Amino acid sequence: MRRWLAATVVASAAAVLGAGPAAACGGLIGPRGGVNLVKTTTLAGYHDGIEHYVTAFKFLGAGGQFGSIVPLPGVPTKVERGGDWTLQRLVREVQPPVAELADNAVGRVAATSASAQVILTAKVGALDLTVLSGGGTAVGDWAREHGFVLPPDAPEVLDFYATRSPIFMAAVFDGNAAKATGQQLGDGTPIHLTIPTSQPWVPLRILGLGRQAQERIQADVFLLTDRQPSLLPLDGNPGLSLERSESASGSLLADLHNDKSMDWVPTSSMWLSYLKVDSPAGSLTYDLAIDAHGGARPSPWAAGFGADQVALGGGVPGPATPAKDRGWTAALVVLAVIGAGGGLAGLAVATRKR
Amino acid sequence: MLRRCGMALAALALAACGGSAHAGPPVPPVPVPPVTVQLRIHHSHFQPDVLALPSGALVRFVVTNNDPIDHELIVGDDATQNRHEFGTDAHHDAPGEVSVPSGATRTTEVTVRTGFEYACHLPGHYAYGMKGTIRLR
Repeated sequence: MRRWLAATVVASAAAVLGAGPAAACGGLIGPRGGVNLVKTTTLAGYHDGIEHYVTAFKFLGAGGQFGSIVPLPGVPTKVERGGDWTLQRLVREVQPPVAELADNAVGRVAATSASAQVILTAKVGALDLTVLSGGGTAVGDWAREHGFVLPPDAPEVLDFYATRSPIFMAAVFDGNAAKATGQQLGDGTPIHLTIPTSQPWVPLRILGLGRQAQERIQADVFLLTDRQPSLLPLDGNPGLSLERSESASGSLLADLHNDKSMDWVPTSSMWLSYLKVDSPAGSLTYDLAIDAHGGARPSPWAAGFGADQVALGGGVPGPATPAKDRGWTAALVVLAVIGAGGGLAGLAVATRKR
Repeated sequence: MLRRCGMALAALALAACGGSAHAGPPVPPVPVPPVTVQLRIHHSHFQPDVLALPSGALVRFVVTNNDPIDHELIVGDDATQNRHEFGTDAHHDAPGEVSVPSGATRTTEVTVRTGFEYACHLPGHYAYGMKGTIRLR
């Protein structure tokens, strides 16, 4: 009998997350693992050279610890509690009328060898957040030494990100502490990271961490930028589609601006992009590069492409198409109920047997 | 009848000689050193993932884990692999079975036979492709 202090694994992206059939909060880990997947939603906003990540970790009621590792495009200058309704408001902005969806929602929630260096730590509710700098191996070592049990694809995925940015955030959610403080099942803990960077990108590949190659990854990604961005991957990528690309409504911006720690959001002249990821995990080998400066040259490097894998020039994912599929509707409902989208991933600290 | 007796005697004579040209006390067999194979683990895959080995040879596997996660090396036939994939063994002290912590180098010896492969059966690792083929020559 092999007992695993199984920690947690997870991955999270600053991208919004997924919904859909696999969206169900569960299952990153196999049988008998007692795994509770933490489902989160993320907004990647970019304004005046600052990238803002807003994501949420959802309390699913289990005891023990859950964890997540999120690659970041730069060193955050601030990690704080996020707004209370930002993520929910974004979901509402892009989904059909709530009344039409309410019934569907019911029951759906169910690189280097040197040591990693801790750049900053923060505690937000029952979340212990640690921002790390180091290569993939160093960050993996740190995670293992701190109780994370990483899936077999973690070494490659961590290296994939570390070659672009050696910055990661490890999040540990203490379920026992949440219970002790009266946190209720389904409560989310939003966090907000402020990251100065000239080249924003949104991690997508991390969404597939720990998944089987054929498992579908479905995610919603919201972007708020000063002007219409150019995005990479290019047109025709079957796993990523641009569903909305429009000037953000005044009501949306006002609602976001008035949320806690969201006063960075201008009340006018912002562009809202809404993308859906729907891809087998094995094919989701890229990230989303954003050129928000009007140069129409999103970086292949920022998207995680090798020089031989992409044509230069950038582009925008396929045009928005009307949502015909009720499956997506359901997916959005899940997000609405959970209040999220987003990055995600996580495993519970559990006892595993083999 | 005489012919049959003659053949039997000849067989006995050969057996008495033990097939050796010299009489005297038996000579203990000279130990054959194991064939040493170096394996590296990187990104949850074995390198190399195909080995060509002499049939029936004793092989010493020296495996180095360069990943930031733990692994194991299990060398054996289908039954052995299945036992580890679906079983509950916690310790690996049998020939051809060894746990390899992150950053460590470990060795194990086993006599390779037809149908052997090598793999890691920590949760999800085999499905991720952490296995190798042994071809006997």
